[in-house]
Amino acid sequence: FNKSPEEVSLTLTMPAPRPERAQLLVDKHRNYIVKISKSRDSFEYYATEHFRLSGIYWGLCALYLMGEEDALDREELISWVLSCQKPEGGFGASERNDCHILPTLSAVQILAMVGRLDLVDADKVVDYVAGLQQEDGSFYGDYTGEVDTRFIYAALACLKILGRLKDCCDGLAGVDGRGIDVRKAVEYIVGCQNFDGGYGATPGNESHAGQVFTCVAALQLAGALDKVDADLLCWWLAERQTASGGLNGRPEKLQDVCYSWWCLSSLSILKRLHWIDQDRLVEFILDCQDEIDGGISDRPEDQADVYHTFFGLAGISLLGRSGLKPIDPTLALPCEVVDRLCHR
Amino acid sequence: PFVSTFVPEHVRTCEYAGYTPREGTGNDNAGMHGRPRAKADTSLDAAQKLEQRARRTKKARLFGELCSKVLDAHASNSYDAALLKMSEKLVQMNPEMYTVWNYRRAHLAPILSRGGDEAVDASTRELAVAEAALMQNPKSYAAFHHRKWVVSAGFCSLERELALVEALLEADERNFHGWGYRRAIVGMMGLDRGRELAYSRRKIEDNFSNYSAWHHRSVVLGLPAGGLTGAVIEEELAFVRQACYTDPRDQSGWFYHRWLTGKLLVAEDVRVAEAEKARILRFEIDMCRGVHELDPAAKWPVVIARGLLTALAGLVDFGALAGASGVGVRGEDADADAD
Repeated sequence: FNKSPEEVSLTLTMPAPRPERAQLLVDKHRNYIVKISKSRDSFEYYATEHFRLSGIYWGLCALYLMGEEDALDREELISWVLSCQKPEGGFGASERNDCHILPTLSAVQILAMVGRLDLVDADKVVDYVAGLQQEDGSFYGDYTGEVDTRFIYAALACLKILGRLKDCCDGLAGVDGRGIDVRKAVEYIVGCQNFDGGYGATPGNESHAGQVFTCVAALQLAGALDKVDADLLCWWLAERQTASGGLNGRPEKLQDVCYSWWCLSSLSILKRLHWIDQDRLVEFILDCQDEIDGGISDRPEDQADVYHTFFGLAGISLLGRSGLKPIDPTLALPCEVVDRLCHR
Repeated sequence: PFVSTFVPEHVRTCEYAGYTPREGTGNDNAGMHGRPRAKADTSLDAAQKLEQRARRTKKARLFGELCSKVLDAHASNSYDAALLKMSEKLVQMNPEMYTVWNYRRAHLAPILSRGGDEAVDASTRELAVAEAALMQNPKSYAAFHHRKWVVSAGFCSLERELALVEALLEADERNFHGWGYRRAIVGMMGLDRGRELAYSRRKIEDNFSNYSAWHHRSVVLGLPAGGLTGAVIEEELAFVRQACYTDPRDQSGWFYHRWLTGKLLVAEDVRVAEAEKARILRFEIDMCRGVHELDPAAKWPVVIARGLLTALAGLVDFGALAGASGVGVRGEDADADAD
């Protein structure tokens, strides 16, 4: 009891990251993303159609952070994104998928990055999103009624990007008298707070770093960050860091590059990024690179994919390393894109 | 004032070097996680490589055709036995294909709303489809949502659903979809607090590291109807103490422990005298000391004890302000302070 925790803590020696992966392999990741975006007849292409729009968002944002947003064909991209819009106003994950609140957010994020939000009827999107809110403040994902705090984040972020959130926060109506009840949405999120200060998908659901991000970011957008027990939650988030330097999403689970984003963005919003060992985390992310084919995977030596490539880069960007463009932790968009939106 | 949700000072002051000595165990999400790199198979000759590529292309093409047939049918609201069978195959291969579940729901909804034997049969068959999908991916949001949708129509046995989710949690005790589904079913049946506490206790006794079970316990105990009394907190502290001693380096029990002491200190509905609170805190500090002696390198006993000591110091001051009982507490702790 006379020892400090620093003396008590063991630092396990992990094997040093491979030298081929010690730097961020920007060119390889750019080429990887471009290659994936062109592969139209692989099994993976069909098997991932149910989140293709989000995949495009991950790929484009990753490229943007590397300063390579022009590597994809802009016009083709825009035209495909618009083909995913449905009469209801929302977007589906692909032109053949039904509309859902999550791909709707991805569509709006993509159009924000290419600077063509003018191509979307903002009223229709707001109307679609607002129509998904329930009486208890929660949001359905689509008309079939799945409830999850991720959908509250998607709704608020959508409206924020479209410049309509302030109206709802001020209590003014949205389209045709229908906007989002932000106060009720906040109440619902508060009801999802757990014994550890974290948040789950619905009230009573276990804390998970992904849900923590969506709830914290949603509260930030709603101007209600004071509802978070910041110290307690960030302690829980800091404890996601394992001996490998990587972060897990829940206690006693495996570290995974995607949690570099989910945990880090929450810590950043709550201004406690310094509560984790940043150097060790960056080392871990770099070690997850595929030095041969490009891309980043969930753990070292695993298969890379666009999702982990984006979240690995986003984590590095949040920590201000490797010359990447800064990313906004709340909207998960490059800061310069967010600045453009704010100065409309 | 005492700190209700203390955070270790060294964390607050950035001396922290986060670590967990035991790596996480168990499955992570299917799909994009935990897949080793597909290394080029150098044992294949040129002809074999061509054959492999041809096979992959064929597989992709067949899957693509299946998707096209079903998604086109959905767009035109066409249903027949063959198409429904194809959609069943699709969701079982790829349970997160939400639009294909929408296709099935659109077909099923009018049958369920008509009720009767037809609805019961259709519901039973659909649950079998969803179950097969869950066997393929027990963490599929879309498969669980579909199951909940079918169950909510009311033509099936909730007891059987409970048995299914228990089997799921036997296979993966940390599957939060499963735990969430259990809470949903139990909610539909009417919450039996005793049963939920017994179930979570059983899971914890199987494995003290079951954070999901500790979480479940916090939900059941924290519910307004039940409430946390001082007696319940002491019982829970005795229970979690076993976890702390058994595996001092596992954070699950310690987070739960922190919650209990926090509740003891600040929850308005926990009516315990200040002197009692101080006694309990001192007992828990001693527990931490005991665990520390067993495993001097473990950080949790030290971290938690620090917080408890801070809280105890605060409690003593608060007690002094409270009047007669406070004076008694302070006097009693005059020697404790020297510790």
